Amino acid sequence: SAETVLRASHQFPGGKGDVRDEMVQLMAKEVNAADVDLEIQVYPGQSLFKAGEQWGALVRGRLDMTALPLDYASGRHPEFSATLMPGLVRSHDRAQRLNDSEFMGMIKKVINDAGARVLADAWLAGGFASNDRCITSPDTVSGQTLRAAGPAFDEMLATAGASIASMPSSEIYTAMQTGVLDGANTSSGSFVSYRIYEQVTCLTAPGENALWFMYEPILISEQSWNNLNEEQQAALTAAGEKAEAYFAKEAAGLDQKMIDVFKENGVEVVNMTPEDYNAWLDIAKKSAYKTFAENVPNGQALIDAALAVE
Amino acid sequence: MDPVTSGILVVIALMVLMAIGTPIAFALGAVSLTALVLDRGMGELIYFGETFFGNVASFGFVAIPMFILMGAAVASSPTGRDLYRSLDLWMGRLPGGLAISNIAACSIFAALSGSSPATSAAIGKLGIPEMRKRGYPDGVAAGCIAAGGTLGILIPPSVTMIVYGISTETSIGRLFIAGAIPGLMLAGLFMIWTLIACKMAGGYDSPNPVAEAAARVKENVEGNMKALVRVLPFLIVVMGILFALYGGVATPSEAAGVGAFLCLALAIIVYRMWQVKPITIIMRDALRESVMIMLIIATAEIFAFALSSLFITQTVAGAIADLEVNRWVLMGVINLFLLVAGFFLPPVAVIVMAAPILLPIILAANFDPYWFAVILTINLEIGLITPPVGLNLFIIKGIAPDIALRDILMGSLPYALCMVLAIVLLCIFPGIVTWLPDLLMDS
Amino acid sequence: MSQPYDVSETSERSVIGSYIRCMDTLSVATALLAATLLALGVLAVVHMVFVRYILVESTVWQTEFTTFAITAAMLLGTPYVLKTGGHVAVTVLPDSLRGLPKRIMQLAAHLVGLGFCLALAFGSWYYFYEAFSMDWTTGTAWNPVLWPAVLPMAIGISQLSLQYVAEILRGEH
Ligand code: NA
Ligand code: NA
Repeated sequence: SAETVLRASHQFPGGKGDVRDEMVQLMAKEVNAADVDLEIQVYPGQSLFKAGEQWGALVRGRLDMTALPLDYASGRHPEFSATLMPGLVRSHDRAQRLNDSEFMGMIKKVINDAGARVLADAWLAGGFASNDRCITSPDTVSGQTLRAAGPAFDEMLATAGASIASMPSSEIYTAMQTGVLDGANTSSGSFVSYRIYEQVTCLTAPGENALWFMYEPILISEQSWNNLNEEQQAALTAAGEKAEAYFAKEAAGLDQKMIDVFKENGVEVVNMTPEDYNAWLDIAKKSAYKTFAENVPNGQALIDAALAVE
Repeated sequence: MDPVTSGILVVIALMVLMAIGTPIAFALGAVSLTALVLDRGMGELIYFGETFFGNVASFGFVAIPMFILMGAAVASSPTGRDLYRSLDLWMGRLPGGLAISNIAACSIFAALSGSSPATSAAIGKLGIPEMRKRGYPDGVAAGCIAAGGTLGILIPPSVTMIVYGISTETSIGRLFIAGAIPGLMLAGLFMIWTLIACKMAGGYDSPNPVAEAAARVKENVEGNMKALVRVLPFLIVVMGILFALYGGVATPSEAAGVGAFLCLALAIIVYRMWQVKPITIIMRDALRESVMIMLIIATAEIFAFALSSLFITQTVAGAIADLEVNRWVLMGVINLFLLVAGFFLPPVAVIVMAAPILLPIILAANFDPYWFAVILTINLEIGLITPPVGLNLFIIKGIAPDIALRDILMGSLPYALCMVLAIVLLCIFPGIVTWLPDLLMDS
Repeated sequence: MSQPYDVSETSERSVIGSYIRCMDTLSVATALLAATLLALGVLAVVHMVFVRYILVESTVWQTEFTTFAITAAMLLGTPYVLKTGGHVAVTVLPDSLRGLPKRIMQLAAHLVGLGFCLALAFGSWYYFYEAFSMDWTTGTAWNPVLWPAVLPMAIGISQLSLQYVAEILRGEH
């Protein structure tokens, strides 16, 4: 076996086709094939570090690599909340353009300063589901009890008149079944894997005007990176590019798979119109964006930079 | 160092530290931290606080202290006495009736409490002196309370099922229901053995003269009905809590919090325990047991983390999966492993440490994870009444220090064999476990 | 000749005695704090259930508050449980010994336990220092600062270490 072993940890199920697990596994395979005396050992499903502890372990060099929803570290770097901010991304095409923008430059600077670097970008899309009425324009959420994924969404939805119940995504199903929740807001993948289609009447798919996007890059610890030789670093960079390309190919497919499964189960599927999207953006500017700009030193600059992308 | 060697060293170090009398929680923590620092460097020590805190601070685990508090509230009230009196009236005239009443009382109390030592303590405080007074052999008196108490973690609610649910990401509500019928079956087996033991010993309840018995009945009917009425609110609260949990209306932590609150309120209202002293006793008992359990969970989590970090978990699981033995041979080996682990470790520690290794194997061999949870629980119940670490034995020793350990052990042994029989029955008829959850939850 | 020695031994004994009494009192005090936090955690859950299921309104802080309050209770409770012998141990082997071998074995076990507690106390204070000096928050909807959740662990485990020393001294005298 190889001289240098990198330990990669993530919270997603291993070997079951989860796209983030596939990305890490693909990198492990590529690095192995490059024959640079480097091996990536994957610990899926929180079998090493718990989801919330991965960032801290990574930047201290206790963990070499991770596939991490970056917002999980927003308690230590409030800037990261911008990577789970309603309406900042809008579509997969725009996510691609965002990756090379000044906005992501600012985010990646925070990542680098903290002691980590990005090997592959990934923006996952998500939507809304409800068993009350379709969630499109802001007035459709008023009176519904919703579970949102992330504090910024909580704030925006509450401002639009929804009640918020916080719980892990694994509990959405039973909460909907028993009427504690009317609707939920999470990633396309979670909607399918938690069988939410059995409990709802309407799905708002991401489409061209999606509010929900979350940044889940593959990261490496700066300490681990510096311990690699140039050949190994080159192999890892190449593997990261392959993983990123693989993800870009799969991303839209994840949304389509969700739409197919929900339709098969007789769920109505709708999209937001540009008018709906802009109405939500107005509410977000008054709520989540405003709070973010107030609490984060360069918060307003981050939002402006993200919105400036075509 | 390869994972197999380091695995063996870690296990030996743990056994040595436990053998010299280091408290289990500290032995687990010391071995894991040393292994981590040797393998990964001083960073593991510097950031140990963060790792440790992350292991305890979860909304899932906080259900455990709250369920224990709920049990403590019920236990400190005279519910045990009331339950006991009512049951004694109804069963007192059977041969060995008092011992059987004790097992029945343990079963009912098990439905009010999530922990086994608490169940043994609550019923044993009255049951053991009463049985000895009426001429039962010490072994039967101690054994039926020690064993009856173990039902606390099989009949819902159950502290260990919560830990299993969190460790394996299975539904805690479903785990709870899965334990109900096997729990009653096991209680039945205990009763059958008790009858046999009493017949063999010949020294139980010298039959009361008819007149005396009649007088007792007359005197007791009124008191017992009142006693039952007072127990009823607790039973209703706990049943309500459990139904909320099974229906998925509430998470275990919500159910536990509301349950603890209502049972405390009932203890204060129904039993008028509003003085400082009884409330202090409830809080003290709850704190003592839950701190002990939570510290063991936390250090067992560190131990599991160390095993995974050293790649021992993955190596062992992979090796077992590659064996390709018959699935029932595999189940036999796993049972043996659990039995031995249970001799030395409290149930929660075994679950936290073994679940990451065992669950993938169980699933690969096509066993139902809920059925396995019940098998595992019964195995660990055996551990509660066997030396060197038998939490229920410690309780019995505390209640009746003058009963020789040998008598307690000899009295408990047949009940351990009942549990082995129960495991065999559940292997032959897995429907005993799966029928009720399928009926209630898959509609 | 023996006079000064006796005096110093007596004062040594009284110093140790008052150390033990002081630690016992402190451990009871942290236990009282722990019981209060446990009760507060329960009340927060009841409040959450009431707001979420009866009033059908947003619940933001209760889950996290309960988690931190009860975690704090568990860690602040550890010294009291040590003082009252509640941390389960296998004592079959030391119990079967007598005299010096028994004392050595007990001391070794105590030192292992104390060593672990000191390591954890150090880690806890370091975590507290990081959370405090870098203004870490929890990153949730409620998003409180983290250090008040970590401080009880640092205090509880430090007192646990001090109580451990008291237990060792109690055993020796
Ligand atoms: Na129980
Ligand atoms: Na045992």
